[in-house]
Amino acid sequence: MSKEKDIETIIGSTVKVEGDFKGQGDVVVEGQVQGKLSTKGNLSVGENAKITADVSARNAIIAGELIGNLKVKDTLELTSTARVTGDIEAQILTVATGAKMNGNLKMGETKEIEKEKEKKEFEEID
Amino acid sequence: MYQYIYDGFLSDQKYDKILTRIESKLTDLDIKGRLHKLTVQRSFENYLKEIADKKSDCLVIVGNDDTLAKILNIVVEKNIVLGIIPIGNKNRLADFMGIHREEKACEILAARKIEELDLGKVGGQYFLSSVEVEGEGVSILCNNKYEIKTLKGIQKIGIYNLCLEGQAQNIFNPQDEMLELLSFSKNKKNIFNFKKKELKETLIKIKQAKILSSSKTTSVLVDGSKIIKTPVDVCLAEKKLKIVVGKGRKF
Repeated sequence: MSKEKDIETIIGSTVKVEGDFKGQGDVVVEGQVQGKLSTKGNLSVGENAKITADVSARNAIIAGELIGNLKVKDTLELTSTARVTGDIEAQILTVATGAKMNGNLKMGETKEIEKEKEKKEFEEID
Repeated sequence: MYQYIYDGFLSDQKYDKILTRIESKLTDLDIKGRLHKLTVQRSFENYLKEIADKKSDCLVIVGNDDTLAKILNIVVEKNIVLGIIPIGNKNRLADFMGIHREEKACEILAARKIEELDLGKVGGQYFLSSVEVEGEGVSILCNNKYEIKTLKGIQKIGIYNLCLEGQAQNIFNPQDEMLELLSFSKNKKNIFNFKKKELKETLIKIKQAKILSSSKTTSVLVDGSKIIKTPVDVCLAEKKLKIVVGKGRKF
Protein backbone atom coordinates (compact mmCIF):
# COMPACT_ATOMS: atom_id res chain seq x y z
CA MET A 1 0.00 0.00 0.00
CA SER A 2 0.94 3.63 -0.23
CA LYS A 3 3.19 5.61 2.04
CA GLU A 4 1.29 8.14 4.12
CA LYS A 5 3.15 11.07 2.58
CA ASP A 6 1.53 10.26 -0.77
CA ILE A 7 -2.02 10.62 0.54
CA GLU A 8 -3.83 13.24 -1.47
CA THR A 9 -7.34 13.02 -0.10
CA ILE A 10 -8.66 12.45 3.39
CA ILE A 11 -12.34 12.29 4.26
CA GLY A 12 -12.28 13.00 7.98
CA SER A 13 -14.52 11.63 10.72
CA THR A 14 -16.49 14.87 11.05
CA VAL A 15 -17.74 15.05 7.45
CA LYS A 16 -20.09 13.19 5.14
CA VAL A 17 -19.54 13.16 1.38
CA GLU A 18 -22.59 12.75 -0.84
CA GLY A 19 -22.38 12.30 -4.61
CA ASP A 20 -19.86 11.18 -7.19
CA PHE A 21 -16.40 11.44 -5.61
CA LYS A 22 -13.44 10.79 -7.90
CA GLY A 23 -9.86 10.84 -6.59
CA GLN A 24 -6.66 10.69 -8.63
CA GLY A 25 -4.25 9.73 -5.86
CA ASP A 26 -4.57 7.86 -2.60
CA VAL A 27 -7.75 8.28 -0.59
CA VAL A 28 -8.31 7.75 3.14
CA VAL A 29 -11.87 7.56 4.47
CA GLU A 30 -12.45 8.07 8.19
CA GLY A 31 -15.94 9.56 7.87
CA GLN A 32 -19.03 8.82 5.78
CA VAL A 33 -19.48 8.50 2.03
CA GLN A 34 -22.74 8.06 0.13
CA GLY A 35 -23.02 7.74 -3.65
CA LYS A 36 -20.00 6.68 -5.66
CA LEU A 37 -16.33 6.56 -4.73
CA SER A 38 -13.52 5.87 -7.16
CA THR A 39 -9.79 6.47 -7.29
CA LYS A 40 -6.91 5.50 -9.54
CA GLY A 41 -4.76 5.23 -6.42
CA ASN A 42 -5.07 3.29 -3.18
CA LEU A 43 -8.00 3.38 -0.78
CA SER A 44 -7.93 3.03 2.99
CA VAL A 45 -11.19 2.84 4.93
CA GLY A 46 -10.87 3.42 8.69
CA GLU A 47 -12.54 1.40 11.43
CA ASN A 48 -15.23 3.99 12.13
CA ALA A 49 -15.88 4.90 8.52
CA LYS A 50 -19.19 4.13 6.84
CA ILE A 51 -19.46 3.93 3.06
CA THR A 52 -22.75 3.41 1.25
CA ALA A 53 -21.50 3.50 -2.29
CA ASP A 54 -20.07 1.56 -5.21
CA VAL A 55 -16.31 1.74 -4.81
CA SER A 56 -13.37 1.22 -7.15
CA ALA A 57 -9.63 1.55 -6.47
CA ARG A 58 -6.24 0.14 -7.40
CA ASN A 59 -5.54 -1.36 -3.96
CA ALA A 60 -7.73 -1.18 -0.85
CA ILE A 61 -7.61 -1.82 2.89
CA ILE A 62 -11.04 -1.94 4.49
CA ALA A 63 -11.42 -1.73 8.27
CA GLY A 64 -14.87 -0.11 8.42
CA GLU A 65 -18.34 -0.63 7.00
CA LEU A 66 -19.01 -0.78 3.27
CA ILE A 67 -22.43 -1.27 1.72
CA GLY A 68 -22.06 -1.47 -2.05
CA ASN A 69 -20.05 -3.20 -4.73
CA LEU A 70 -16.28 -3.09 -4.40
CA LYS A 71 -13.98 -3.37 -7.41
CA VAL A 72 -10.24 -3.48 -6.72
CA LYS A 73 -7.73 -3.77 -9.54
CA ASP A 74 -4.95 -5.40 -7.55
CA THR A 75 -4.93 -6.20 -3.82
CA LEU A 76 -7.81 -6.03 -1.35
CA GLU A 77 -7.28 -6.44 2.37
CA LEU A 78 -10.17 -6.84 4.79
CA THR A 79 -9.14 -6.36 8.41
CA SER A 80 -10.84 -8.02 11.39
CA THR A 81 -13.23 -5.08 11.83
CA ALA A 82 -14.33 -4.91 8.17
CA ARG A 83 -18.03 -5.32 7.33
CA VAL A 84 -18.74 -5.53 3.60
CA THR A 85 -22.22 -6.01 2.13
CA GLY A 86 -21.97 -6.21 -1.64
CA ASP A 87 -20.11 -7.91 -4.47
CA ILE A 88 -16.32 -7.93 -4.38
CA GLU A 89 -13.94 -8.09 -7.32
CA ALA A 90 -10.16 -8.25 -6.80
CA GLN A 91 -6.98 -9.87 -8.06
CA ILE A 92 -5.62 -10.77 -4.64
CA LEU A 93 -7.68 -10.92 -1.45
CA THR A 94 -6.57 -11.05 2.19
CA VAL A 95 -9.23 -11.58 4.84
CA ALA A 96 -8.48 -11.31 8.56
CA THR A 97 -10.29 -13.38 11.17
CA GLY A 98 -13.49 -11.63 12.17
CA ALA A 99 -14.07 -9.78 8.90
CA LYS A 100 -17.66 -9.99 7.66
CA MET A 101 -18.50 -10.39 3.98
CA ASN A 102 -21.92 -10.77 2.37
CA GLY A 103 -22.00 -10.92 -1.42
CA ASN A 104 -20.45 -12.50 -4.47
CA LEU A 105 -16.71 -12.72 -4.85
CA LYS A 106 -14.76 -12.66 -8.12
CA MET A 107 -11.02 -12.85 -8.01
CA GLY A 108 -7.83 -13.76 -9.80
CA GLU A 109 -9.26 -13.79 -13.29
CA THR A 110 -10.83 -10.33 -13.35
CA LYS A 111 -8.37 -8.95 -15.90
CA GLU A 112 -8.79 -11.98 -18.18
CA ILE A 113 -12.57 -11.66 -18.04
CA GLU A 114 -12.27 -7.97 -18.95
CA LYS A 115 -9.98 -8.80 -21.88
CA GLU A 116 -12.41 -11.45 -23.11
CA LYS A 117 -15.28 -8.98 -22.86
CA GLU A 118 -13.28 -6.41 -24.84
CA LYS A 119 -12.47 -9.06 -27.49
CA LYS A 120 -16.13 -10.00 -27.80
CA GLU A 121 -17.13 -6.36 -28.14
CA PHE A 122 -14.56 -5.85 -30.94
CA GLU A 123 -15.75 -9.04 -32.69
CA GLU A 124 -19.34 -7.84 -32.52
CA ILE A 125 -18.36 -4.48 -34.03
CA ASP A 126 -16.43 -6.22 -36.84
CA MET B 1 9.37 53.23 -9.45
CA TYR B 2 8.24 52.31 -5.95
CA GLN B 3 5.15 53.67 -4.23
CA TYR B 4 4.57 53.24 -0.53
CA ILE B 5 1.25 53.09 1.26
CA TYR B 6 1.26 53.67 5.01
CA ASP B 7 -1.74 52.21 6.82
CA GLY B 8 -3.81 54.55 8.96
CA PHE B 9 -2.72 53.02 12.27
CA LEU B 10 0.84 54.26 11.63
CA SER B 11 -0.25 57.86 12.26
CA ASP B 12 0.09 57.05 15.97
CA GLN B 13 3.14 58.83 17.40
CA LYS B 14 4.65 55.61 18.71
CA TYR B 15 5.47 54.60 15.11
CA ASP B 16 7.30 57.85 14.23
CA LYS B 17 10.78 56.54 15.06
CA ILE B 18 10.23 53.26 13.22
CA LEU B 19 9.00 55.07 10.10
CA THR B 20 11.97 57.44 10.18
CA ARG B 21 14.33 54.47 10.35
CA ILE B 22 12.53 52.76 7.45
CA GLU B 23 12.61 55.90 5.29
CA SER B 24 16.28 56.36 5.98
CA LYS B 25 16.98 52.73 5.03
CA LEU B 26 14.98 53.12 1.79
CA THR B 27 17.09 56.16 0.90
CA ASP B 28 20.29 54.20 1.61
CA LEU B 29 19.14 51.39 -0.66
CA ASP B 30 18.08 53.88 -3.34
CA ILE B 31 14.52 52.56 -3.51
CA LYS B 32 12.75 55.57 -2.08
CA GLY B 33 9.48 56.43 -3.75
CA ARG B 34 6.30 58.39 -3.33
CA LEU B 35 4.58 58.03 0.04
CA HIS B 36 0.82 57.81 0.53
CA LYS B 37 -0.74 57.85 3.96
CA LEU B 38 -4.15 56.27 4.34
CA THR B 39 -6.57 58.27 6.43
CA VAL B 40 -10.21 57.88 7.33
CA GLN B 41 -11.15 61.12 5.59
CA ARG B 42 -10.65 59.85 2.05
CA SER B 43 -12.69 57.15 0.34
CA PHE B 44 -10.38 54.21 0.76
CA GLU B 45 -11.09 52.40 -2.51
CA ASN B 46 -10.95 55.50 -4.71
CA TYR B 47 -7.71 56.52 -3.06
CA LEU B 48 -6.13 53.12 -3.75
CA LYS B 49 -7.31 53.12 -7.36
CA GLU B 50 -5.74 56.54 -7.80
CA ILE B 51 -2.44 55.25 -6.47
CA ALA B 52 -2.56 52.07 -8.53
CA ASP B 53 -3.31 54.01 -11.73
CA LYS B 54 -0.03 55.90 -11.44
CA LYS B 55 2.78 54.01 -13.13
CA SER B 56 4.77 52.05 -10.59
CA ASP B 57 6.87 48.89 -10.68
CA CYS B 58 6.07 47.99 -7.14
CA LEU B 59 3.43 49.01 -4.66
CA VAL B 60 4.68 48.57 -1.12
CA ILE B 61 2.35 48.38 1.85
CA VAL B 62 3.69 49.49 5.19
CA GLY B 63 1.45 47.93 7.82
CA ASN B 64 0.11 44.47 8.63
CA ASP B 65 -2.14 41.64 7.37
CA ASP B 66 -5.19 43.91 7.47
CA THR B 67 -3.45 46.41 5.17
CA LEU B 68 -2.82 43.61 2.69
CA ALA B 69 -6.45 42.48 2.86
CA LYS B 70 -7.59 46.04 2.04
CA ILE B 71 -5.37 46.41 -1.00
CA LEU B 72 -5.35 42.86 -2.44
CA ASN B 73 -8.18 43.30 -4.99
CA ILE B 74 -6.70 46.41 -6.57
CA VAL B 75 -3.13 45.10 -6.73
CA VAL B 76 -4.29 41.90 -8.47
CA GLU B 77 -6.62 43.67 -10.89
CA LYS B 78 -3.92 46.18 -11.87
CA ASN B 79 -1.26 43.46 -12.11
CA ILE B 80 1.19 45.36 -9.90
CA VAL B 81 4.03 43.75 -7.95
CA LEU B 82 3.31 43.92 -4.23
CA GLY B 83 5.92 44.55 -1.55
CA ILE B 84 5.43 44.43 2.21
CA ILE B 85 7.16 46.25 5.04
CA PRO B 86 5.60 44.65 8.10
CA ILE B 87 5.12 46.62 11.29
CA GLY B 88 3.65 45.23 14.50
CA ASN B 89 2.52 41.75 15.50
CA LYS B 90 -0.31 40.95 13.12
CA ASN B 91 1.93 39.97 10.23
CA ARG B 92 1.48 36.26 9.66
CA LEU B 93 1.36 36.66 5.87
CA ALA B 94 4.67 38.52 5.85
CA ASP B 95 6.16 35.77 8.04
CA PHE B 96 4.92 33.15 5.57
CA MET B 97 6.56 35.10 2.73
CA GLY B 98 9.84 35.18 4.66
CA ILE B 99 9.76 38.96 5.12
CA HIS B 100 11.35 40.34 8.27
CA ARG B 101 9.99 43.27 10.24
CA GLU B 102 10.57 46.98 9.66
CA GLU B 103 13.90 48.10 8.15
CA LYS B 104 15.06 44.51 7.54
CA ALA B 105 12.17 44.23 5.10
CA CYS B 106 13.70 47.06 3.04
CA GLU B 107 16.66 44.85 2.12
CA ILE B 108 14.29 42.10 0.95
CA LEU B 109 12.43 44.72 -1.08
CA ALA B 110 15.67 45.89 -2.71
CA ALA B 111 16.63 42.29 -3.60
CA ARG B 112 13.34 42.02 -5.57
CA LYS B 113 12.87 38.25 -5.49
CA ILE B 114 9.39 38.01 -6.99
CA GLU B 115 7.09 34.98 -6.81
CA GLU B 116 3.65 34.43 -8.33
CA LEU B 117 1.09 33.03 -5.92
CA ASP B 118 -2.29 31.42 -6.52
CA LEU B 119 -5.33 33.29 -5.36
CA GLY B 120 -8.84 32.27 -4.50
CA LYS B 121 -11.95 34.16 -5.44
CA VAL B 122 -14.99 34.38 -3.19
CA GLY B 123 -18.09 36.35 -4.08
CA GLY B 124 -16.12 38.32 -6.69
CA GLN B 125 -13.30 39.23 -4.29
CA TYR B 126 -9.81 37.79 -4.16
CA PHE B 127 -8.46 36.00 -1.12
CA LEU B 128 -4.93 34.90 -0.40
CA SER B 129 -5.35 32.62 2.57
CA SER B 130 -8.74 31.16 3.51
CA VAL B 131 -12.53 31.10 3.54
CA GLU B 132 -13.75 29.52 6.77
CA VAL B 133 -17.11 28.46 8.23
CA GLU B 134 -17.73 27.30 11.78
CA GLY B 135 -19.83 24.47 13.17
CA GLU B 136 -21.87 21.49 12.01
CA GLY B 137 -24.62 21.53 9.40
CA VAL B 138 -22.45 23.31 6.83
CA SER B 139 -22.84 22.10 3.28
CA ILE B 140 -20.23 22.62 0.54
CA LEU B 141 -20.86 21.60 -3.06
CA CYS B 142 -17.49 20.75 -4.62
CA ASN B 143 -16.70 20.80 -8.35
CA ASN B 144 -20.48 20.46 -8.96
CA LYS B 145 -20.14 16.72 -8.31
CA TYR B 146 -20.35 15.98 -4.63
CA GLU B 147 -21.46 17.66 -1.45
CA ILE B 148 -19.59 17.76 1.83
CA LYS B 149 -21.66 18.06 4.98
CA THR B 150 -20.14 18.74 8.37
CA LEU B 151 -21.13 16.48 11.27
CA LYS B 152 -21.09 16.65 15.06
CA GLY B 153 -17.66 17.26 16.57
CA ILE B 154 -16.44 19.63 13.90
CA GLN B 155 -15.02 23.01 14.86
CA LYS B 156 -14.65 24.58 11.45
CA ILE B 157 -14.24 23.78 7.80
CA GLY B 158 -12.50 25.97 5.28
CA ILE B 159 -11.23 26.36 1.76
CA TYR B 160 -7.55 27.33 1.85
CA ASN B 161 -5.01 28.60 -0.61
CA LEU B 162 -2.44 28.68 2.16
CA CYS B 163 -2.70 28.19 5.89
CA LEU B 164 -0.74 30.42 8.24
CA GLU B 165 -1.03 28.40 11.42
CA GLY B 166 1.78 26.29 12.88
CA GLN B 167 2.48 22.94 11.25
CA ALA B 168 -0.56 23.19 8.96
CA GLN B 169 1.26 25.60 6.68
CA ASN B 170 3.60 22.80 5.58
CA ILE B 171 0.86 20.93 3.74
CA PHE B 172 -0.19 23.86 1.57
CA ASN B 173 1.47 25.04 -1.59
CA PRO B 174 0.20 28.39 -2.87
CA GLN B 175 1.70 27.65 -6.29
CA ASP B 176 0.02 24.29 -7.03
CA GLU B 177 -2.99 25.82 -8.82
CA MET B 178 -5.33 24.07 -6.40
CA LEU B 179 -7.30 25.03 -3.32
CA GLU B 180 -7.53 22.73 -0.31
CA LEU B 181 -10.66 21.94 1.63
CA LEU B 182 -9.71 21.25 5.24
CA SER B 183 -11.73 20.52 8.38
CA PHE B 184 -10.76 20.84 12.04
CA SER B 185 -12.30 18.85 14.92
CA LYS B 186 -13.27 20.28 18.29
CA ASN B 187 -11.53 17.67 20.38
CA LYS B 188 -7.97 18.54 19.32
CA LYS B 189 -5.98 20.36 22.00
CA ASN B 190 -4.14 22.31 19.37
CA ILE B 191 -5.85 21.91 16.05
CA PHE B 192 -2.95 23.22 14.06
CA ASN B 193 -0.29 21.15 15.72
CA PHE B 194 -0.26 18.25 13.32
CA LYS B 195 1.95 16.76 10.67
CA LYS B 196 0.55 15.45 7.42
CA LYS B 197 1.24 11.83 8.31
CA GLU B 198 -0.83 12.20 11.49
CA LEU B 199 -3.61 14.12 9.83
CA LYS B 200 -7.02 12.56 10.28
CA GLU B 201 -8.96 15.63 9.28
CA THR B 202 -10.54 16.15 5.91
CA LEU B 203 -8.15 17.23 3.19
CA ILE B 204 -9.46 17.43 -0.37
CA LYS B 205 -7.94 19.31 -3.30
CA ILE B 206 -10.53 21.30 -5.21
CA LYS B 207 -10.77 24.07 -7.80
CA GLN B 208 -14.31 25.23 -7.30
CA ALA B 209 -16.96 25.04 -4.58
CA LYS B 210 -20.16 26.60 -3.36
CA ILE B 211 -20.70 27.12 0.35
CA LEU B 212 -24.42 26.78 0.93
CA SER B 213 -26.57 28.39 3.60
CA SER B 214 -27.79 26.41 6.55
CA SER B 215 -29.92 27.12 9.58
CA LYS B 216 -26.81 27.47 11.76
CA THR B 217 -24.40 29.33 9.48
CA THR B 218 -25.18 32.32 7.32
CA SER B 219 -21.73 33.80 6.75
CA VAL B 220 -18.11 32.92 5.97
CA LEU B 221 -14.89 34.52 7.21
CA VAL B 222 -12.48 35.52 4.44
CA ASP B 223 -8.73 35.81 5.20
CA GLY B 224 -9.61 36.03 8.88
CA SER B 225 -11.10 39.50 8.58
CA LYS B 226 -13.91 39.97 6.02
CA ILE B 227 -17.38 38.48 6.48
CA ILE B 228 -19.48 37.44 3.48
CA LYS B 229 -23.03 36.07 3.53
CA THR B 230 -23.79 32.56 2.23
CA PRO B 231 -24.50 31.06 -0.27
CA VAL B 232 -21.21 31.99 -1.85
CA ASP B 233 -19.10 30.66 -4.74
CA VAL B 234 -15.42 29.96 -4.11
CA CYS B 235 -12.94 29.16 -6.85
CA LEU B 236 -9.30 29.32 -7.86
CA ALA B 237 -8.74 32.71 -9.49
CA GLU B 238 -7.27 32.97 -12.97
CA LYS B 239 -5.06 35.88 -11.90
CA LYS B 240 -2.02 35.51 -9.66
CA LEU B 241 -0.47 37.73 -7.05
CA LYS B 242 3.05 38.95 -7.82
CA ILE B 243 4.79 39.51 -4.53
CA VAL B 244 8.32 40.27 -3.32
CA VAL B 245 9.42 37.45 -1.00
CA GLY B 246 12.32 36.72 1.30
CA LYS B 247 14.70 33.76 1.42
CA GLY B 248 12.94 32.34 4.48
CA ARG B 249 9.57 31.89 2.74
CA LYS B 250 7.61 28.80 3.74
CA PHE B 251 6.68 27.46 0.32
